[in-house]
Amino acid sequence: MKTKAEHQAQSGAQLRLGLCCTAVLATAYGAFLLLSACAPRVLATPMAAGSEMTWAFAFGFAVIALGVFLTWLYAFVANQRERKVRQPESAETRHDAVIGRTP
Amino acid sequence: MNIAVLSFIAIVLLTLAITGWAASRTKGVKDFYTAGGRISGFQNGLALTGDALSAGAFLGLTALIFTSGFDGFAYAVGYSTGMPIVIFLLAEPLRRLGKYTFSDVVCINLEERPIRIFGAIASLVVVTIYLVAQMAGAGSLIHIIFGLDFHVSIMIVGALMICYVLFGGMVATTWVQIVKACLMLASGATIALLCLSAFHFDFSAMLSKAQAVHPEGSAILGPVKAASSPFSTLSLGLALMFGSAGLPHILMRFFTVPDARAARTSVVWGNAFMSGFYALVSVLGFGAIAMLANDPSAVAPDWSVIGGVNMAAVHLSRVVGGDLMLGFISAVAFAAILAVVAGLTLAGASAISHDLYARFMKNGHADERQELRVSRIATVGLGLAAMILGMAFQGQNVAYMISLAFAVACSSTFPVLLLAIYWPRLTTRGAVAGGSLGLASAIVLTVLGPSVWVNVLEHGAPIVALDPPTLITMPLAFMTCWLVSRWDSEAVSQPVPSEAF
Repeated sequence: MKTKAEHQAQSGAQLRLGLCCTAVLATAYGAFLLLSACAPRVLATPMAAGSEMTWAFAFGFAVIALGVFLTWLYAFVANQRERKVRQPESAETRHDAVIGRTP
Repeated sequence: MNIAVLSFIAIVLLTLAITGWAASRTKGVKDFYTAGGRISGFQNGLALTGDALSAGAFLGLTALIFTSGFDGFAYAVGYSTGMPIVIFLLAEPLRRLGKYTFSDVVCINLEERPIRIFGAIASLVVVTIYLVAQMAGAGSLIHIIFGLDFHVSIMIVGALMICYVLFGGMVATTWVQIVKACLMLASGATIALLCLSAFHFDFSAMLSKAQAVHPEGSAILGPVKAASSPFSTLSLGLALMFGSAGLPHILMRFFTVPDARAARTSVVWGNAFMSGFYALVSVLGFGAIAMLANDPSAVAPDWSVIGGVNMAAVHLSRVVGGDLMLGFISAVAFAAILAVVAGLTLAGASAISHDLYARFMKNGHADERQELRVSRIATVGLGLAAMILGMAFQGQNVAYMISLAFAVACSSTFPVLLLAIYWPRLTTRGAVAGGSLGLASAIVLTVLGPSVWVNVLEHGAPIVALDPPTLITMPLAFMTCWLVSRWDSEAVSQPVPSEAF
């Protein structure tokens, strides 16, 4: 059973991780949008001479990939943290205990 | 009998068989709403994919890229950021704190009755908007692909979706979504591969051909629209990124897995599949430009697509894979619609039967069998309403509706849910005030904006230029929740229980 302190430590850490990941992805996507609005010609330049792949594509694919990576990372870290703690009670009994009324 | 009709029939039979099997496993309310919590992480990941990727993701995004080049792909990039936000902020608390609807989570520290009303209304508004868009789109699509009359198409889609949910509840919905996701991923990947192979797997060569034949030329290789409307671009980005986290049919999926760990697994898989699809849609879109350009059976000289711009992907599948692929894609598009509308109908029915009936009207003392009966009645009612509205919107431009649904979700359900989980000082009045204001402003500002005021109501200039209005309405909702909670004389509520994690 998790102690209250362990609970709060874990929940605080998980929230921080979630907020961090949100901030990173939002910044990357925000940068993509800002560049699109303010410097579209930069994005429209090809990455290499002779190639038609522009930096716009690179940025776009990078944002998509970043989302996949951060999602995996978050789940991985959360699973590791959870493994350090013993068997949590079932969600159902916890919900009922928490709200103290019949569902 | 051509392949398209055969695949159509095959899909109908398969999904009805799934429903029959699911019906035997749907005994009570818990099965109806959440499949008894028995869905595994991987299965839920596929179901999420099936729930979130509508025919719009397949056909609509391809069409957008076909018309506007990179600007269309930028949309796909935006969509891909939605699911990660759900796991970073909501998936686990939802699973641990909620039971059947997201209002369960919001209610934990707040007065139940007002929240139930708000939650149900907000859910129904989002669900209805989304449903109408899907139904109207389905009508045209089936009419064009299979040649059926618009009204008949809507009736078929409506009848099937009511069937899946009425008899099979969440079990049927989940498995229809899983099947659809597999079909869509497989077909999307196949077409993309066939496309690329025509260019010897050289993405750059494909882009080169595309920009050579497209009316806009090399402008399609970079963003164009954003520079002329930076605030709308930012606003749209906000809606795409945070909107998914407020869509009731997406949030509901997290109640079907046994624990938080499975909830995480679902999002990792779901996001991987969806992101893969959003990435390969770039190949579909630019491939369509490159390969359909000089094909008069697909594209007219003025760059309009035969059958409407949403048919670009269908034409492409025919060009790269022959009639076999064409038939298959047509059926996949059909299945895609069915899976999403089933999920939406279930989300709407749960809001009615669980939030409004069981928790609000009956104060939590509803007999389970009664609740189940109300869910089923609500399903039929909602399904019929969706069909009627879909028919009413025939021929109308419904493209803005998905964006509207996202804007409303961003400005009503998402802020309230997020604050309810993480901010102990949120009060009931604050939540209801903020959420309601967000909802109302999102709708009003969209109606006054270019999408509706100009494109639908045909006035000269929009009253509000920002489209979608999320940049205003989402912060407005959050601020209102905060302000009203601070002013409220209600006693400070207890902190969110640490068991939330």
